[in-house]
Amino acid sequence: VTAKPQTPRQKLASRIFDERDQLAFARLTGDFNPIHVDPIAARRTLAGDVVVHGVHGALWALDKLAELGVVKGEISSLAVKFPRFMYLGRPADLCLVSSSGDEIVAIISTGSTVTTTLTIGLGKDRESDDVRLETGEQPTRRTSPVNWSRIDDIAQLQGWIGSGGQGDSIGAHFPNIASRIGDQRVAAIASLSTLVGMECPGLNSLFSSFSMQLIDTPRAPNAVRYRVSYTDDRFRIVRMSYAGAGIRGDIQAFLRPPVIAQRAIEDIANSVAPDEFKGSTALIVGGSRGLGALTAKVIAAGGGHAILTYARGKLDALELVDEIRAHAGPEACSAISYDALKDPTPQLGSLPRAPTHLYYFATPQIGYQRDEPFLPALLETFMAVYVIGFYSCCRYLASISGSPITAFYPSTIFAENTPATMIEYASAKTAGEMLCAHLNRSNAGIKTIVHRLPRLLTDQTSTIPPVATRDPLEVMLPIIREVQGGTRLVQGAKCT
Amino acid sequence: MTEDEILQTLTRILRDLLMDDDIVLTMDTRREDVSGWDSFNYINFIVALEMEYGVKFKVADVESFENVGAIVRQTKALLS
Repeated sequence: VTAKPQTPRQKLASRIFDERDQLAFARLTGDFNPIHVDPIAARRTLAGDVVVHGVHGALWALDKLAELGVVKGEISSLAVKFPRFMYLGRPADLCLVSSSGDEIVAIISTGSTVTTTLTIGLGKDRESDDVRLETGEQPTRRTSPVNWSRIDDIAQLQGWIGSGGQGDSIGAHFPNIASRIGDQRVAAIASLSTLVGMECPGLNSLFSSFSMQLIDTPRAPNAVRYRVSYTDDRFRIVRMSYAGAGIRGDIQAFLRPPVIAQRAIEDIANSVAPDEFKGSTALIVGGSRGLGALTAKVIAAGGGHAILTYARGKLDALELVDEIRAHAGPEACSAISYDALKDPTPQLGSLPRAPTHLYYFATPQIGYQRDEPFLPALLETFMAVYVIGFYSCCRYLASISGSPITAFYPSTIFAENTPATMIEYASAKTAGEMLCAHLNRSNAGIKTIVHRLPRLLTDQTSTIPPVATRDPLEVMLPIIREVQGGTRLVQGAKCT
Repeated sequence: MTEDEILQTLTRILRDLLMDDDIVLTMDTRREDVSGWDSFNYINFIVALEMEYGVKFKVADVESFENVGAIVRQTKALLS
């Protein structure tokens, strides 16, 4: 359907955003939303990693367009969309799409992925708006983003966001566009990032688009008034109108789903007998969140000992250990750092006790923003974790155990009905299934149990559009019982 | 409003959304056939479509549309 190559576009400039750019823009604007500055928190969002402030990219593009003389004449309006995430460390190219006497269209792309589109209107007409701070009103400036979780909570929001005070310094970072539209307006545009990222929708926001007219606001020179104008609970959409500091327009953003928390251990304990897994020790690789965290709670609730591993989420892991110990006692759980891509021998050499079971949930980010139908490097990453990493871990555990280890390998229903965007993931999981079958035939001291899991609600599967998912506990509990040696499921049965 | 006219509108909306004038949707096109038409842009697309025609889809419909043809047919049904 889209096999034809894209129409050639004129590349005007290129840059790579890095961590320093993130922090610099966050300090300038006050937009410290974790999706932009905290790699650990960002990995649990839809983006899966830190992403560039969209407004930062847009201001860079505007500055370059002004510097290069592409924008001739007065700017009257601007429309910006953020269709895809812009990640750090990848070249961002500014390309000119079209230019006429009254409109310029440009994009920012990484590879062939368009992350930002800009439509710049040209003209001299400029309206005036009497927007002003009333008595008792103050612009907000926060040090941490507001954590709204329900659309209803923000449906009536309105207020002011400050764009003054730091306006000169923001303009100094984008001098070419500042000389065209003024420091005040550059600061106001930057403040839209703060509005969305810190205020509304705040912590769980995704900035989708904004439109803007250049106007005169003589009574609100350094602040922008905003008001939520529309919300849609179906898709968690928030629209706002705003005016102040020389601009006026509309914003569309999403209130993305909050970080997915698995059930509390107290809740899980209602479904598990307290001594059901007594005497067993389960090593749960990738146990700090998602299905790994759920499995650790189930094992501990059933009287077993859970050793969970984390690669980056140490804080998540320690919080989970605290939760489990508070319910099941200090011997119920422990946590260690483990990198599935590295030799397990030094990493697992000081385990508190020899595992009897392995649950292998190690995974890189699964959803991947792609611009090619097949990504060899991504397949290599998945193979390294899902196949080689699994085998290495199994081999080590078998070598230190006096009796056979039972290992659970979580495969996926996408192995049989593979979406085009998950070909590398499904391929690697299929290879892992073959390895498991081979291990079972090889008398290698490892008995593997494989199930193709349906889509379950975790950070990795959380999306804005409604997608049917199953209760992770409902799916995992029978599997854990099978792995632990209790009720057996039919081998190879799909848990659908 | 014919199905073909709605299909042309859908094509225009998606081209504008993804800044790709080479996109040509057919009734059989699935989301995964179009580079960049991910879940986030799917919602942006549905919202733009709703605004264009002044209709509202049910969540269950949005969740279950298997291809562009299903979206076209449901849009037509809502317009009639």
